Amino acid sequence: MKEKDLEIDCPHHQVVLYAEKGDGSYGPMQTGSYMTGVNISEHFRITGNHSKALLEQLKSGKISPVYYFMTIEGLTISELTGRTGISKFRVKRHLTPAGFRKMRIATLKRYTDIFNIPLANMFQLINTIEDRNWDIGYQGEIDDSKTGSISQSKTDNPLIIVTEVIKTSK
Amino acid sequence: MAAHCETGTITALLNHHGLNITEPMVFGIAGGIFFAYIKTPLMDFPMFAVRSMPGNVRTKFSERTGVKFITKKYRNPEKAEKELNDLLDKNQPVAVQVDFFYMNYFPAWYRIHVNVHFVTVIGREGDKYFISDSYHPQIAEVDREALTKGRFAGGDMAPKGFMFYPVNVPEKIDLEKAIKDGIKGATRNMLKIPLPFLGVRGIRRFASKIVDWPKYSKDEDFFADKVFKITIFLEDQGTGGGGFRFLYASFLQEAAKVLDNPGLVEMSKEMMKIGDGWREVSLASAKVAKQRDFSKERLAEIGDLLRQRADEEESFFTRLGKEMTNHNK
Repeated sequence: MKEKDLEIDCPHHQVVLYAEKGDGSYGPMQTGSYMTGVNISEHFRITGNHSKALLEQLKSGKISPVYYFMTIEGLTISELTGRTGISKFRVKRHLTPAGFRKMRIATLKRYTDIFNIPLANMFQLINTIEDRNWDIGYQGEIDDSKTGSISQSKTDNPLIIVTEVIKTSK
Repeated sequence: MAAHCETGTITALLNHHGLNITEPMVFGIAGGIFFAYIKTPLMDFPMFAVRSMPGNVRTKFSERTGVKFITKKYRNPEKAEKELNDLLDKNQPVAVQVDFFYMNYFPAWYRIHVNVHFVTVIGREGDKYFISDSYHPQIAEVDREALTKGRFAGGDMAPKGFMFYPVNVPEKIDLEKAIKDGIKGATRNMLKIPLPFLGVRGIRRFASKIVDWPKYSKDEDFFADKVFKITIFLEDQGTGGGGFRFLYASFLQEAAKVLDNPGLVEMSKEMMKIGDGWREVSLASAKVAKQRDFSKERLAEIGDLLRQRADEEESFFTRLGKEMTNHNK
């Protein structure tokens, strides 16, 4: 493939491809990703629809928060078993709302460590500045000048986080 | 930046140690080109790979060039962190295996849980680590907690704090022998493994099984995502394009110069064309996924393209093996 045929304008996802240069030699070139450049909107549509549907199921109590986070982070039951060290049988139980309600805090903490979320967010739907770094649907800067933003920060106590509204100066 | 995380980290570490070597050369000497189509009863959906097993590039490269790497795994995260810090304080960059998901210098939509991502840690300042990642255009920063989580993620192919760095880079490497061994290894992997899902046989299996994929799907969105992933695995997930075939073509062009073998120049051109063919597979898959036409006929079209790649690669690697045998005479 020639260098010019591989050039894609996609600044937010760069890749290195090997291609034929003008002098006939082969070498690396940095360019945009074809998949991201062409199909990112489709990807966001699919993942966005999927997350919305899951959120509705979570709100109506059909699935447990563990199932919700497992699915949006693309993990399977066996991977979650391996990562948390909790048996497959117990993970399956925690995926149901009834099983979730019986869980101990220490077990829940093992899940939140893997999902990279504060423990408190297993019981509340909150969209913070920090979450945007992890939100699958987040695509860019959001103007916070009118609404302010919610921020969560850690404390020395691993079970407690501080949630506060940050006022913007704009 | 580099095309692939494992070859990229090895190349960066070797360059740091004064060995002037390129990424395609590391990939080619290690015989990294491969194909595998895997579906076991435990897997929800089939998967395929276009390169050798993670870690194989380092071990094969080391075997064939005499470069010695120190490799370490840990049970204790604190010990792993301390030893990493000690090495960084001695100005020794270190490659570590991490779960890609925790490398939060990438945007969220880009990150997935994959335990076999390699990055080079080049320095630290307090709780901040400086990372050279093959897929990130600049030197990135990651905090201590995220790095530890990434290094000690559990699950399939868990990193277990794995890290490596070169300790002995020979002054004179027999590059000719290493290249020949690398090519022989690649031809063996692509043609001679007597299992129906590996090498060229694996490409053929993929070609015949792709029409069965809808039966593993939960819904249309899920299936579209899986078909898109063919393109992602071939083009975007650190392959250098065309499922590592462009990278291998670059290796063959460099190898031709080292071995002074004009036959390899022609073969490198041919490999570039095979890579173009893999790109056709990528584009066809992206089109099918976007149009959401998952009829048997459309999937069979992708299967036909794959069969052509299998035929081309079978002929290519047979002749490449002969070229090396004749070169020795």
